[in-house]
Amino acid sequence: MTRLASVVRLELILQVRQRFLHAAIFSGLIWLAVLLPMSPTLRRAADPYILLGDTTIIGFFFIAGTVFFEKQERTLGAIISTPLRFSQYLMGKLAVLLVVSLSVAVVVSSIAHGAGNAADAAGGIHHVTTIRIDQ
Amino acid sequence: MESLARTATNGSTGVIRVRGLTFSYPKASRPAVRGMDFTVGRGEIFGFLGPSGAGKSTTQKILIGLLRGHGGQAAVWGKAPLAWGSDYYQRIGVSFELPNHYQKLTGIENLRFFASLYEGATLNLMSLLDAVGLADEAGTRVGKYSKGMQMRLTFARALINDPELLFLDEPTSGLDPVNARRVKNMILDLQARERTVFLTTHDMATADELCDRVAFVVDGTIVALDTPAELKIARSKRLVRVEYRSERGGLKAAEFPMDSLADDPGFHALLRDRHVETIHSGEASLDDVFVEITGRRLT
Repeated sequence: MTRLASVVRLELILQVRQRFLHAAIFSGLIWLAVLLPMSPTLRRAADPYILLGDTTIIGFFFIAGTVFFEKQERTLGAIISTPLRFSQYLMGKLAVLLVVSLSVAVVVSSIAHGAGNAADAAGGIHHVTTIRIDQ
Repeated sequence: MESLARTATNGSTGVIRVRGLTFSYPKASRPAVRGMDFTVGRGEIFGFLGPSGAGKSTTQKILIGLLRGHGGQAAVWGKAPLAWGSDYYQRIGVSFELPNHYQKLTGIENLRFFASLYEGATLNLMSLLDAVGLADEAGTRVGKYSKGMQMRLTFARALINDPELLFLDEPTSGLDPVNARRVKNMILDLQARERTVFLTTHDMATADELCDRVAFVVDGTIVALDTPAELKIARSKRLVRVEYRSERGGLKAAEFPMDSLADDPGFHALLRDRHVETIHSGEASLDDVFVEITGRRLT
């Protein structure tokens, strides 16, 4: 197994055992509770912003949690005394965070609009991001 | 100082070579390391002793490649640790002073993860856990381990890649006598296989028992460096103390100069006429030597 794959596997196990995945699912449910009561027109307008917020919040929440556990367990010192480079470690963490937050976003979007509109919502995120970068 | 100039006693190949090493932390009022010189040979157990804040851990971090920006020279196998890149960590093992494990993983899961980070073969993980007395707890989450168990797991983890050079920071701290003995025997086994050990400790008894040479570190410098035996003999009282039973059965003691012992009539009479309980030479302990040299006690 490559080192990156080892880190991804470790992160997934830790996310489950530290109940971060539970928190991610809970976060998705909250967004659904906000989106579903809205009228279809309002929902379509609010959806990209909510999904962008969801992916961002999950990302920040998970990073804060990971840093907290790493500080408490002092594991970073052990990690950087092995052949694994810090960049590989960071990449593994980011890959897991990205997959988890995007998965929640796709599921929330699919439930709110039906599976066919998930891609439109994802396009909406891209649209909003582009506008913000342009500004 | 002659003893400071001495090089490694075991093996002619220097594994670690430190010359004029200095290091200052940002915003610190004084340097943490102020001009250290020492060499560690292959197959040697080198003890680094000193009180907290003396610069031991800083020196060890520089040698492990965790700190940048030092002055002077610190080379391992002829190259600066940071210049080796990740290859360096294939060849070394590090055991930290405090346990640092993933608490939500079991003992064996922790070792499996770290083993997966090394290229090539690693030691058998269950055998390793068995060697440190944790085989029965391999499937238990580390969060449920005692501090002593976590320390043994830290030590076992440092051996995963069968390292040529091992950095150990207080490896027997928090261990009961049986497990401390187990860890010490493993360190001696490593030495028998020509592994080099850089041992940082407060524990004079452990250093005395394990180390070929010890360096006393105070205020960022090495104030003495020699074999434990030479350090102790140089500061020994050349006296023999005899404890014996008096005529009334009470315990009494007498001291005799060691150099004239063979012709000392008082000593001979005591051996002949009294019931001797103990005979001891006035050999200094490593702790006594440290206090005498540095004026400080290790805490």
